[in-house]
Amino acid sequence: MTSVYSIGYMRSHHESRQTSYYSYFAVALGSVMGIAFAGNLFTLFIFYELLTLSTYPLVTHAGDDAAREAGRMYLGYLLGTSVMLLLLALIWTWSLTGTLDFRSGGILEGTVTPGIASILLILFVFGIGKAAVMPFHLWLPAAMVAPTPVSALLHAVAVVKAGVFTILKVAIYIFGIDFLAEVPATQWLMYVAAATILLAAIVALRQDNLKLRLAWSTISQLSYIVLCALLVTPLGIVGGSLHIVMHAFAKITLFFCAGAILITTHKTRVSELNGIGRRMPWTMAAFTVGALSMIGVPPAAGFISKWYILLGSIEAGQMIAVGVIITSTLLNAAYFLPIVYAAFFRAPEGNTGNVNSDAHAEAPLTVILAIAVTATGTLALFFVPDIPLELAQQLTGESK
Amino acid sequence: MSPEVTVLACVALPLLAPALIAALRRWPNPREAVTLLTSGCLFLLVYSLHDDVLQGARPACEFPVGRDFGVLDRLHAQPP
Amino acid sequence: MLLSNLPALQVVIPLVSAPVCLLLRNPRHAWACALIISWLVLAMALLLLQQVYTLGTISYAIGAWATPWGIEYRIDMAGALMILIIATVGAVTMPYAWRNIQHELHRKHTGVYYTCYLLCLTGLLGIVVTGDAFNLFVFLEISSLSSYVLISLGPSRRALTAAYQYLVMGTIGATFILIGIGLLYMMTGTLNMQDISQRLPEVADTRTIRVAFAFVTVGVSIKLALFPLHIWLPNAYTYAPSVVSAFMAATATKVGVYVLLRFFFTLFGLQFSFNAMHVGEILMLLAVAAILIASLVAIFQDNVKRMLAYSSVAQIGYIILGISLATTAGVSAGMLHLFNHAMIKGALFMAMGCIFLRLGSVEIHNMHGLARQMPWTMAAFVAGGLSLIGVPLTAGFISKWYLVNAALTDGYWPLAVLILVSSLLALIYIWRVVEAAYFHLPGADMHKVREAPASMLIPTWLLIGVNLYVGLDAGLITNIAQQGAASLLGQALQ
Repeated sequence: MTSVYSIGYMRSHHESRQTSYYSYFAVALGSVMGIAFAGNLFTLFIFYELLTLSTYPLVTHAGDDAAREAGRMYLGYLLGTSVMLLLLALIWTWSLTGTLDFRSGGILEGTVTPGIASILLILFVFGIGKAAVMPFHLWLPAAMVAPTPVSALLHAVAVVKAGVFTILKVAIYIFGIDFLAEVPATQWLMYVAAATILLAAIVALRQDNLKLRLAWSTISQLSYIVLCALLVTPLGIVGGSLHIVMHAFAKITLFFCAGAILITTHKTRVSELNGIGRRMPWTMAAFTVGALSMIGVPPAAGFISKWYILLGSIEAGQMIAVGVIITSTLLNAAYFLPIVYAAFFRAPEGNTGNVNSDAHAEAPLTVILAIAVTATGTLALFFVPDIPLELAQQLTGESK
Repeated sequence: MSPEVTVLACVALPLLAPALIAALRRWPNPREAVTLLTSGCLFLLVYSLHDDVLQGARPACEFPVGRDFGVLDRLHAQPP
Repeated sequence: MLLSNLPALQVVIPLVSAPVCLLLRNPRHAWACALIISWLVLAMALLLLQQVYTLGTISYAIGAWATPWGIEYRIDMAGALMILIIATVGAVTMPYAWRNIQHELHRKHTGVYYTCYLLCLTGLLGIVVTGDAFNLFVFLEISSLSSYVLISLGPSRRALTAAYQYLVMGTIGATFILIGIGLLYMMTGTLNMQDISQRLPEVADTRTIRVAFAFVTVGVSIKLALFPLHIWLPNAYTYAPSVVSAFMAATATKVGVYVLLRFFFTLFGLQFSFNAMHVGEILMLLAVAAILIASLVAIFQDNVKRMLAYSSVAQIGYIILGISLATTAGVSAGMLHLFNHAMIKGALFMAMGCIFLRLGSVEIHNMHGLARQMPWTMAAFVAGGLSLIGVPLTAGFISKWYLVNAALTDGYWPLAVLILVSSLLALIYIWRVVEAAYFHLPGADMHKVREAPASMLIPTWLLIGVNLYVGLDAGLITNIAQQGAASLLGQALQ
């Protein structure tokens, strides 16, 4: 069940070879493994903090003032929320129940009143700052000062996925979905997640910097998964855990594309991308696949998870959730499709005598290879979603 | 390998790799080879787990610190 | 024979060897003498701990005079833990002291330094082992007087005023304690702590005893720098020689806390101190103020040693907070933090000593870009800082966990929140140094400096190692702390 996450993660890591900070990278990787395989919440928390600390040097890799500011924000938000809210929730749970083991059916049921459980749930959901639920989301755009492979891996895949993974774990194994349904705060937190989905998507629409647009899109997509955890239906859990994998593949593709565009053309703005599809056809084709997956159009993997999420919300009778998902799908389309359109169909602007601007100039082969693998993965997961699907269904089997 | 050992290897491998990576600081090519090798091994390890997991095994790692916290329970007698 | 006399030897050996250091003209010989004695003390401390661990509380009659009349040395688990802290820090700082003292002290003062250091060690150990109230006062004075001298030896002339300030405050504290003990003697007719605690209940409901309690509490609070009686501490730690700061921060205030524990739980008893005198509420309030205010003040310090000093005041607040709960969980959390904070602060001050040796300053703005030039020292500072913040896998996390848990079990959830908020304040002040050292480019006027010598780095990293080890495997030390708390409270319950 945990390997859903790890496989998704490993695939993506395998391709990256650009950063010089291999040591921290490996430590971060180890922490992710620790989070994935943790047998109790305490172990998970230790690796969660280790992940924050080991990625801090990666975020601040540039070492200049901007990086320092971003690092401050990164550390402040992540360490702040985890120490003040998550740790409190952790110790509180421990002093109430005497255990922090992950057990199917949860450990809190029968020991706490719904009122205290509400407070605990709020502490958990906001305390896991890596899940970037508003208002604790600002670290994610800030962390985009990191080198692109770092943002790609750590801020599209590893760190944020560690966050939502923790939320899923807490929902299933600490609360247990039956008990979670009785907790009054669940409903309210679901609205917060829904609001995050919409607001972040709207902000993404207004971003001109490509990486920032992707970052805001990540915030929006993460709250899908939080929403799923709070739908408290088996189908919702399946949808959420599938979305972890699907989103990981799609987002890594998009970030790699952004990186490839940066290193070949030194362009970071969406408005500069007119006609770039002619110069870098492979990159932009992969970008299209990633974007389709984000929107949830077949034949991309995002469709499957979105399908389950929708089924889950209908099963839970949460029409607001259904509405939010549909609206955000439109918003996703609104902020991704113009990029694709501009890249392929609009003429490159201002041919300022640069003879090469029309020429076929792709990124280095290794980069293209990496992009191709993740994009193929995005497509392949649509046709053969067996492994993640089976694993996700086992997860819900346990949660009952 | 039993799933438990694999899980332990999964966590320990990337935590130990930095030592080797740091030792190879001067030679970029072996260093990157180590990185790639680590991630490759990790992928294989994780992949080898998924069959067991599908059959119902639940391997997990736990931190030694957590075990000692039980001591407080026994001693936690409120003075009158 | 030798083993059964350990409690006495523990105190007598450093006491006797102190004048020897003064007589040895050669600084190297004096240092070697102090070094050997420190390690000897550590060995004895470990043996003692082992004896207490297996046999239970040790009672030793000095000169074989029977207890209520003669002086009794009494070591229980809490005492053994304290001895271990003092001896460990002493043994670790001594190898470090050689280069540090060479650099920061005039050659003619080195003999005085080693003598006073050994006297201070004697006093601190004596306070812990003694079971006699007046004897405790004597040892307190030995350690205080020698520490005034140690502080005044600091490299800048401001050390003199700092030492003088400490002298005035410390003397007031000592006098208060003496008055308190005198009143107790007046009412009970005995000085043996066990004896006092047995006779006290008959006369407990008198104004004299209440006044005695108040005098002792205030006096000891000055010694342990409880907010707002802490004003001597920042100056003293800032201007003392680095090795003295490290040694004192790790031991002197901790022993103050130990004295407080002894008086509250062993002498006056839990009933009297916490139920009749309501000292718990007062201490809790002061501890909260200490944690918040001192942490905030620490954020605005530019001198890192001063920053660490204010942080010490805040951390003492944590320890007192645990004690003020007056439950086994609270007191053991306090004692755990006693040990952990000694290791953390010792290591941090030692790292600052390394920087002072090379840089001649510990101002933040002089440390720009220092991490490239002194990577090991700065790494030690970061590790110690993380432990101070209470990041998992460090000792600080363990004590924070126990403290928050103790607060929550008693239903004081605002305290739990406060402890966690203040660890964020710690994050801010530690990170100011980290950003200066790792992110700022060195200024144009900065000359290149080398890494600190191994004789200073290794002791620093030893303490960091203890931190990390406790963070990984806290079983042994939490066990000792809990047994110590149980023995303190257990006595109080009888």
